[in-house]
Amino acid sequence: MLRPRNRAHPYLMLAPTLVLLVVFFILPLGVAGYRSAFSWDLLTPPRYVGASNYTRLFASGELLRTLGTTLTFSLVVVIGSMLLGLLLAMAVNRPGKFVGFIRASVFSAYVVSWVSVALLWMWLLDANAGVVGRMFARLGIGESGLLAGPSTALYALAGVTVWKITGYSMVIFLAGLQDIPGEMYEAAALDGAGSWGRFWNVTWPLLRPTTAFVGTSSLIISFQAFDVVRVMTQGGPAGSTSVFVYAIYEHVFLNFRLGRASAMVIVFFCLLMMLTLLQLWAWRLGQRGFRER
Amino acid sequence: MARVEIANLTRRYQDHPTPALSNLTLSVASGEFMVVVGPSGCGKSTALRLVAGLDEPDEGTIDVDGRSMRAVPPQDRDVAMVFQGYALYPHMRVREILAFPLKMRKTPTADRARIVSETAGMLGIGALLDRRPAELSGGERQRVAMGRALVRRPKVFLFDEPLSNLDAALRAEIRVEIGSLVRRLGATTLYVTHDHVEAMTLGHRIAVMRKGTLEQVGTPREVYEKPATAFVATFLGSPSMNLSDATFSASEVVAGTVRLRATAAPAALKIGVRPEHIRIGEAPAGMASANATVTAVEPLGAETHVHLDAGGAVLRARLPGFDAPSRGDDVQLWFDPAQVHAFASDDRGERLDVKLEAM
Repeated sequence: MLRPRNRAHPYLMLAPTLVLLVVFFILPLGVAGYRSAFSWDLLTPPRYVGASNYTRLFASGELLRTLGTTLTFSLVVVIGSMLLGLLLAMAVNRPGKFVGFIRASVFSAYVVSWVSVALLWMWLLDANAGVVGRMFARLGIGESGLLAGPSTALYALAGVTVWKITGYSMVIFLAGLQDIPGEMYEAAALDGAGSWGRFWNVTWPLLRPTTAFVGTSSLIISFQAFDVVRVMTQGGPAGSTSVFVYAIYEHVFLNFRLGRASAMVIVFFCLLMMLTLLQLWAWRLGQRGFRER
Repeated sequence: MARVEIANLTRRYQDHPTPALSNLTLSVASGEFMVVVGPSGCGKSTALRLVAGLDEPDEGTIDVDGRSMRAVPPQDRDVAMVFQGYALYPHMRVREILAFPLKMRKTPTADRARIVSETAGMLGIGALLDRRPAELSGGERQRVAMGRALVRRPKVFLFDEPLSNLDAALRAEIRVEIGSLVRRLGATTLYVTHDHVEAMTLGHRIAVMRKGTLEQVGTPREVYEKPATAFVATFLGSPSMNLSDATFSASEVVAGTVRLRATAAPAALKIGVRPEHIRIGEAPAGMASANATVTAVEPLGAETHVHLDAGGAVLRARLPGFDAPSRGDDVQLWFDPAQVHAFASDDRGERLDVKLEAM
């Protein structure tokens, strides 16, 4: 085993990351935990209220509503971007200048800033002037604008998010596809598998680690959604797009309810922690038997 | 079992000036074990991939049992292949890998289990059925790869350098196994290798390829004893045939100190004699002889390889046991002139029908 020359060295190496983690993650989380026990509006002195921020959060139904909104949004984003990303990756997994151009175009959306994307799509989704908005209006969906309807706004935002991050899923899936040896497909073809059989018995199982990775990262992205909501709907109409990061923002900067916001932070931190553990477990399961290829 | 008829097969790849395979015509009889042998880049694997349907030829035809394989995808060809890298699915257990070709061909589940265990028994991998490829040794993977090809009893077996990833001892062992296995099944087989030992020992016939073209087809004995070109002569046999540039004038073929009588020959040619045909000592009557210096001696136990310099012509002799001259000795070598091969001196090096006699 490698031994450090000085016992402090390993800690010194860890220090930069540790400092960043403490200052920007652990400390704020601690502060939020502390604040969640107080009622504070930023102006008058904080007042200790015990667990009432939490009970209010549960009792008012706000927590469940926000959770429902967030999960619906995430579900659409994760499934949509993974499915589209995989399909696109398989379509562009071939050499050629034109295909390269398509690849770069699809990925470029991922590089554009969220705010630009949000503004662009507000225009595209406009029921009167937007190409996409008009198309949907003609189909009878969201005649007064997709973003204006409480039943459509969340899906419209999810659609925009899918549009933006699909390029990323595509690139990761593309890397995963190119990692599968061509010999596997040749062997499968000689074994009698047609193109569907080859996808189902070779591509899909061998992509499992990639799928797990894309799923995790798009889930993280979807949980962090804020910019699109802030720019396009501000949580409306009728709170239908108030995903949890935005809900926390609303409590702090619009309603000046820091205690309630902090309680929400803590609750969602616990939920995300659980989700991460679940993902880690699924990831390990997916990795089994793949160590040596 | 099936006949495979390959006619005028040509495959060109983009950005390559010379075709990977040009104008290959080869017919493999039903139940025949045909070894395609040659150095890397000679087009042998290209030919195999074309027969498998993994690649499409630019010209030429492949017929299996009289049925054209043009535009027939690999899954509909009824050929099985053992890949060089084995190509075992990493996520499946051996049992599933062996059952996969049967499953894809809709064999009933009960039959599948029976055939898989039969095949596994035949290959001695019955105990490995619940392992994944990552948990197998190289030799075990090789056996599974063969089992995968065997389970469906295809019309044609294709082997693409199946032993090249194994160490020497295992290679020799599995070579014998493949030979007896395929012979027992009596299946039509195309076996690609760069190893001349595999070619000599396994094939009913050998097809020797070089630079995309077929040099010679014949039984191992024909190819060894009557090589059609200088390349075939040197490619098969170890140590390889001694080949020297020679000149012909005044009824005499001369290469270094080696001199032979001939009635007619081109002015420049190559002559060759196999190391096992060279002897050292006083030449009996009718044998050709020459003076040479011993430049190196390699005793291998069963035989000793003696490197000789016969006036510029470099020769190797393969002598039995340890009984050999030492380095630096001036010796007399002799050989039967009937065992001397003559080839044209150009790059193609075609066999010449030159009658050579001792001086």
